[in-house]
Amino acid sequence: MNRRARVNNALAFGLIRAIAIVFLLLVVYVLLYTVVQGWSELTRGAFYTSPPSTDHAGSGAGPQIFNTFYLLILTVILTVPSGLAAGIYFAEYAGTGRLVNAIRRATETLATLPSIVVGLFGYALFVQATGSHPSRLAASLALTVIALPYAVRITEDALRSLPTTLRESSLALGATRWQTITRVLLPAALPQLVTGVILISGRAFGEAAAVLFTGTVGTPTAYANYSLSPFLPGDSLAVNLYVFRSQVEPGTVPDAAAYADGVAALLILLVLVFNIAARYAARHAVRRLQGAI
Amino acid sequence: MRAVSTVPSALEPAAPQWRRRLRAERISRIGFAAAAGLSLVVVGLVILFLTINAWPAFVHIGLDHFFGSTTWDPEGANHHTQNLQPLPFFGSLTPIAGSAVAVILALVIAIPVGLALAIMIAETSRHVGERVLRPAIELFVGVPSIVYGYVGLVLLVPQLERFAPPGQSGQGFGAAAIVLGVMVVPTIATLSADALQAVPSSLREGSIALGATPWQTLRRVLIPAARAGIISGIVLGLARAMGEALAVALVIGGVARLPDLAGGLSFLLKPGMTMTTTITDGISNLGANPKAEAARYLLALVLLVITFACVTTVRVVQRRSEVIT
Repeated sequence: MNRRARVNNALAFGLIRAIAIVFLLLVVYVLLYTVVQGWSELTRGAFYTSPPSTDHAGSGAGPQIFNTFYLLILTVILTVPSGLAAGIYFAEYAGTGRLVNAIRRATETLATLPSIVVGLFGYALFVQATGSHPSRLAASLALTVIALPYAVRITEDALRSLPTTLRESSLALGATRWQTITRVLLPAALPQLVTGVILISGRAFGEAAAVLFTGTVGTPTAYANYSLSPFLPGDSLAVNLYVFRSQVEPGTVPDAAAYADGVAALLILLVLVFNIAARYAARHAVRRLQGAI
Repeated sequence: MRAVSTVPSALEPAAPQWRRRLRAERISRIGFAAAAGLSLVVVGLVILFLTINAWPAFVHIGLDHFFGSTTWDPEGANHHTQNLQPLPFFGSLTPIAGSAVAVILALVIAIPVGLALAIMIAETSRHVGERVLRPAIELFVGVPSIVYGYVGLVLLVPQLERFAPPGQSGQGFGAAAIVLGVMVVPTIATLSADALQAVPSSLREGSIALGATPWQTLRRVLIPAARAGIISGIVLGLARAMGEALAVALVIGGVARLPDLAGGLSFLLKPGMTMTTTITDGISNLGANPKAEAARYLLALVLLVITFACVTTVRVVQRRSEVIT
């Protein structure tokens, strides 16, 4: 090795390390800063109970928190059965025919489709074409379009990562494919599937553009209800953060900035909770698989 | 004893129990296939409904105006006919150019950073990479994009304002590019790291054994070998940056103006618009201006075509690399 090559080597890796570390520190700093900024809101009880306001102080995100979890649960209920079944098909049945290829391509396209396009599509189909108005159901259906390809991929990967011996021994014992899937493969893949559901939920609850078009009519304060009807409109935390910031001029409401900081901080903390939960489930999965096989 | 009788043989007719299982087998297979086909149906519906709703734009605006004009003024606020009626313009070149500029700048930021992170994860510090960097990057992916936009608005834009010409808020292409760049880094980093880790270690060892430095190995052997995965990461990052709407809408300023590339770097601090922010603007008056709405659906169709192109590129790149290895 000549001297120049050694110097280049040191310089290159020094630069790579510096870029990576600066980026990581910057993002971590920004996220921490946001949480710290919003902390005073997060420790204020009314933040969790009162609705947002654009004309007086004392805003809260109560209805938005309720609605975020409402949309999340409805989306998971809509996504899991179809995503699971489609993932099973790809992992256990699908060949390499032209139709299967087209379906795979469609799934990849859905996974890459901008959420604003899904929002506009959802508005055209679930709101306009059905002659109704923006609603939680329409928003959840739009979120399902976004979450479905992830659910398919997670299920397929989970089933493919299982040892083949599991599948073969079940079939060799005379079980049908249906029995093999429902009684052997799915229970074995359950921890990974649970991790996947948590990660999908994490995606869905932060998704704003699709919900903006299908679940709301674009004002930050109109949805102060806790009713369970899926046919009522409602905005999520993420949508409210956007609409509030883009419509309320800074300074018109005394605590507008603090409120938005609070919502941003809450979103970051919820992501943290989802990620830790998913990691915990994944670790549990490894331990269970090692114990079982 | 009963278990034995359920096994069908060529001699005795299948037991009813076994026949029932076979029927369940067929039905479940069809059910799984139907669920898989749902994706195809949804994509078909997306194409159908976007086209139907964009149809007035084809008829009443015309593709030559839509793709030929740089004036985007859907309400006719700044243009008038001779008898002072508002005269709307639907030139999509402004939002398309805005998207292109914002995305290219975002990639200029995200590609070096994403590759640096990928190299750290896959090559230089594997232990820290798997225990700290990967989980951190997964966390960054999970943070809602609107939060990045919001942080960009309250932290970044005021900093940029100090450099902006008087009267400008600091919103503009620079802020949009930084926010998008940060959002895209995890996509490039994870896919590139996966690709680098998938390179057979014999290549790495062979190169080192021939006397190459780790940097030479990385640059001449590993990165070329992992090219397909790295390109996929960049293309999917491009798609993500192109499709992000609300985060960009908060920081780009939302003014229908072309990025002024002739004026040096000053365009970074001037506001503009992208395809997605133009669609987002429509939320405030859905149903009020049918032509403008159709034009927005047409922009969504353009985004859909770009998405197809990105997915196809990834497919082609990966298939080619399979052929080579």
